[in-house]
This record gives sequence, structure tokens and C-alpha cells, in this order.
Amino acid sequence: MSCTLNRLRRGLALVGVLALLAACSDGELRSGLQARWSIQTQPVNHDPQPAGAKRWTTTEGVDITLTAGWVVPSRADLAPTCDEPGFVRWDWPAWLGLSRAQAHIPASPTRLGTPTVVDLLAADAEPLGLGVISPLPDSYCGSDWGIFAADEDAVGLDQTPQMLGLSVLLQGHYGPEQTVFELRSSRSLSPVQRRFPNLETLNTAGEQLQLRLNLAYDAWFDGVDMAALARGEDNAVVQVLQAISNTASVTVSRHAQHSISAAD
Amino acid sequence: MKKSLIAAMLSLALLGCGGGGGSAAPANPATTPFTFKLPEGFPQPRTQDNPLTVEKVELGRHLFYDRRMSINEAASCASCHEQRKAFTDGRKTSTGPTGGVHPRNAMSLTNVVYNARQNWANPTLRTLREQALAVMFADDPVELGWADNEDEILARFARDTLYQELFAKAYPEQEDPYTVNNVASAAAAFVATLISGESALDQANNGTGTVPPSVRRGEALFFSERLECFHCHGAFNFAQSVQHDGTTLETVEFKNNGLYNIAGPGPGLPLDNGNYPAGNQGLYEFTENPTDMGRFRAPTLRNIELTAPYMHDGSMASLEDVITKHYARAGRRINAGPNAGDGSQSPLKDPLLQGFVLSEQELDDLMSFFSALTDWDFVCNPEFADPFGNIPMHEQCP
Repeated sequence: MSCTLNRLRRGLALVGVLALLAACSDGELRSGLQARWSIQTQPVNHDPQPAGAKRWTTTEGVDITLTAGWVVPSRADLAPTCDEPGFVRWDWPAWLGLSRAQAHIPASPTRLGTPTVVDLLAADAEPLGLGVISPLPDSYCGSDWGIFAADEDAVGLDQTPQMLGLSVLLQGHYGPEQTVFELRSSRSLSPVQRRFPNLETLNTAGEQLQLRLNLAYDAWFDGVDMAALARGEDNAVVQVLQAISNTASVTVSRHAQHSISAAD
Repeated sequence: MKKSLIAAMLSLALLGCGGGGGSAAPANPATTPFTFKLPEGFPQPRTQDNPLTVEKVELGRHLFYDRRMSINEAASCASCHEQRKAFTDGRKTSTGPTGGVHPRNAMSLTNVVYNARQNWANPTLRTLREQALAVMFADDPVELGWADNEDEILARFARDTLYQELFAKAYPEQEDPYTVNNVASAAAAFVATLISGESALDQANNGTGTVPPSVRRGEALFFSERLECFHCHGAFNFAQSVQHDGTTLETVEFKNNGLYNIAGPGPGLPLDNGNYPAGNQGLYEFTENPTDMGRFRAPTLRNIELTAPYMHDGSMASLEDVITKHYARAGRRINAGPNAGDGSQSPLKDPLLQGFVLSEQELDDLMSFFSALTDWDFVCNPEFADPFGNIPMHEQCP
């Protein structure tokens, strides 16, 4: 038995030495690569608004007041390849966007898999952190966001239990009569797939990508028959749900936090 | 409906006790064991309850297509299960030989040998032989009309020289092979051979063919967590409640997919809400457990483009409707009439149904994927065809 243990210890020591040599081979530890995900509301046709009910006017001239609203981003992927046709070029108009499906895995080095209930009445242009992943050194060409129904593990569900089983909930009123509408959906939305303007290569210790999903809520009801939406008609509901994905944009930025050299 | 189910189950029980056939007997040296020609990746079917022989399958094929199988000689098994329609009948619900309208849509017989349970929502029908007996003896509505007419129908075959030869070959050890059980076993044996696994998608996956990119995109959608299709229509048979020779744990599932959400209580509608139409309420008809209301078995999606109309009652005309008007919204909404209600709000709906948003391109891709599940070798296989030559093949068959 002791002989076996000794052999095991020797083997482990050898593996450890080899790992150390490999890590130090170019004089730098490649650790601390991060991608930080966040989300914010960001109107595209109006000035940013403070926290509280959001008011805007659609392209049809209909005044909208959003008195309550939540969405549930449930996964976010960092994509090393964007060859599949669903990926939208960074600078393409959103309406050209096609979608790509991908089987969901709870989490991985390139996937944030935590559903989070996001309050749309938070102040605009103030990002809410969704989480951090530690991707492998690689070049990444885009990101892929999924909005699914909240399950029992969704972050923020304790504050918004009404979102259990829902992906989107929008409540408000429109027009001079202040007609009330409510959009309540459990549907999984078309993924928001956006190609980065440039290939983002992560290979230096401490490098960070900041990925932010911008929700252009003030474009969601453009072209929508609000009366039909208030009646809960499917076509209007689907039009809004499609708009949530199609009008979203992704901002990517990067910076190096610090480098860890072998000398450290 | 309940009366007929009870009668069918009693018939099964009596037959099970009374023997009357040699289906479980050791293979007779005068018969040839049937060997499945399985598609790549397909497991060996479980047929121990009804050992297949070439002779029994051939007898079964003739019986399947013979209208003398029905009391008034107006219908055969193939009347509701046409090969050109992947062994369905193209009707919303089927009509029996005596005019009785069945509440259910005729199921495809594609790969039914792999079903852990037969039928749409019958937890008691485990084998194809049992299913054949249920069809033979159903009386509300009459499907073939064997109840109390067994001797008359069996005599038709006993005096026909073709069947004298076929029965003698299939059951050489029996002096009088014209029994109910032998008929059911032979029909079941033939149906067990209806295996489909050479679709365009299969061929592409096996490296013997290709599919266009739209099929692969549709496949990715089908297997995505966004659409969730694969949870109920998964694995090699794109189905649930599957069994085969390697199965060690039997999993049988029936699910409510939100097709109806009728308010009650009322005549035939026992629940406050979540009811399915009276007389067609799935597993609830067997258990009378409220949570079983509207629970049905998820059938195979192989050859699905040939099996319209869809759902257990044939109430959806096209696959596009099934996706856009039902699954995409996590349940169908019926605005008016006796079945009015929003299925997406049913309290009994399976939680996997959350709905999804599809672009037109994605819908096209999904339809391409479904089309790629059509197995033309299966649909045109002469070994599965009418031996009497009365039923036309699909127009695309050579």
C-alpha cells in the first residue's frame, strides 16, 4: 500500500513540476482573463431617463408610459466563431438580424448561465452587472445572449416573484386615454447575436472584456398596434418580443487590469 | 368511450388467460426467425412477447391489408394506416367500418415497435399484440368489429386457400391456427417491422448523404433550450416513452401540452379549468386523476411531414400551425366555441412549454428539418406495401 502511495506522490510531483514549467515557459502566467457581463436600458430615440416610470413616444406618435417592466437575460455566450449565418454583423441594421439557436448548457468558461431578473425601471445607462466568466485564451468574434423564462434559481426573483416562469413582463399605458396594456410572456426570445467590430483576442494575463447588452426599450413599440397589444393579441405580442431582441445592441470594451509576470 | 376501453381491456385479460395461440412458444424449426435490418445507430427492438418469424410477418402483412379483418369487410388496418402517409390516414379523426367516428387521429405506425406504450394515452397497452387486440375488439366506436364476431371472421381466413397456406407456414406446430391470438400476433409482427431510419437527416448523419444548411439550422433550433422540442421528441426515434432491448429502466410519460384549456365544471368537463374536450381527455380517462387531464404520449416525429393533420385529435392542419399557433405561444388559444380557452394559461400544462419567438427564416429552417425526417425508403418499401395491390403507393415512389 505504502509503495503505491509513494508512486502516486512521485507521479503527482512530476505532474506539478511539468505544469509549473509549462506555465512559466514564456515568462508570464496566463491567468485572470475575464469577461464581465452587464445590462442596461439605453433609449435610442430619447434622452436617458432616471429610475422610475419610463415615458417616450413611438415612431407613430403614440405616447407610452411603462409603469413596470422586467426581462430575464438567462445566458450569455462569448463566441470564438461567428461563421454561422445567425450571427449579425456588428454594424448591420438590427432588422437584418437572423437568429441562431444553441443548446443551453448551464455554464462554461465561455458562458454565463445565470438567469437574472432585470428591472426596466432602473435608471438608464447605468449598467447592472450580470456576472463574470473566465474564458480561455482565444480570439472571440461576438456574443450571443438568450432571454428565457425565469426559473426558481433566477437572480432577483426574491424581489420579483411574479416573474417566475416569465421571460418578459411589461405593464403601462398609452395614448391620451391612458389605455392600460400588459405584456406577460414566458416565451424564449430570439437570441441577441452580435459580432464584435474587431476580433477580440484575450491572451494577456489580467485582460478583461466588458460586454454590455443595451435594451432600447423606446423602440419596442414602434409599429405596434397598441390596441391589439392591449387586447393581448398574439401578433402584437410577438412583434414586441421580436423588437426586444432586434433592437438590442451590444457594447464591447476591453482593458488590462494587471499583469502577473513570472517575476511576481 | 370508457365502455369500449373497458371492453377492450376485458378482452385482453381474457385472451391473456386463455392462451389460444402459440406466440410465446419456442421457435419452430419449420419457421425462419425474422432478422431486423436496422438503420445505423438503431437498437434492437424488444419482441420477446411475440417472437417474429418471416412467415408470421408475411401472414401479418396480408391480414393488415385485408378488409375481411373487419366485421362488414369494409375496412382493414390499412384503411387508417396508409403507407403513403407514413401509415396514417390523412383524416382529422378516423372513421370505422360501421361509420363510427373515433375521437383520435390515427397514429403513425413508424417505429411503433420501440414504443413503451402504444396509442395516444393508454397506459395499459404495452405491446403491439395488445394494441392489435384493442383495435380488433373496440366497440365504441367499432374499429374492426371482432367482439362477438370472432368465429365469423376467423372462418373467412380458414376457408381461403391463400390463408390456409399462410397460417400453416406461420404456425406449423398448430393443428388449428385460426385463432384470435394468432391473428393479433401476426398483425403485430408485421407492424413491428415498420422501421424507419433512413431519412435524409439519417443519411447525412451517417455520412451517406447530405442535407442543406437550412436543415442543420433547423436541427439546432429543434435541439435548443429555446424551443425545447427535443425533451419530448428526442433520441433516435424523436419520441418519448421508448423501449428496446437495451432498455433497463422503463420510462413512460404522458404530457399536457396546452392544446386546450376549457373552463368548467360542466357536462364532461370535471375541472374548474384546464379541461380537454369531453370524451377526449387523455390519461385522465384511465386514472380520473385531475392532474392527468389532457396528458398524451409524445409520438415519433419521423415522417412527420406526411402525417397531417396533427395532434391527438387532428385539430391542427399543418406543421406550421403546430409551431406558430401552438408551441410558439406555449399553448393554443381558441377564441370562441365550446372549446374556447387559452391553452398557454392552462394550470395543467407541462412546465417545459414556455413558448418562443421565431423569425420567418427560423420557421423555414425548422420546416426543412422536419422534411428531412421523411424516410422515402420506408414510405416506398415494397416489403411494407399492400400484397393485394389495391392501395396506391405515394406518388413519389418509383
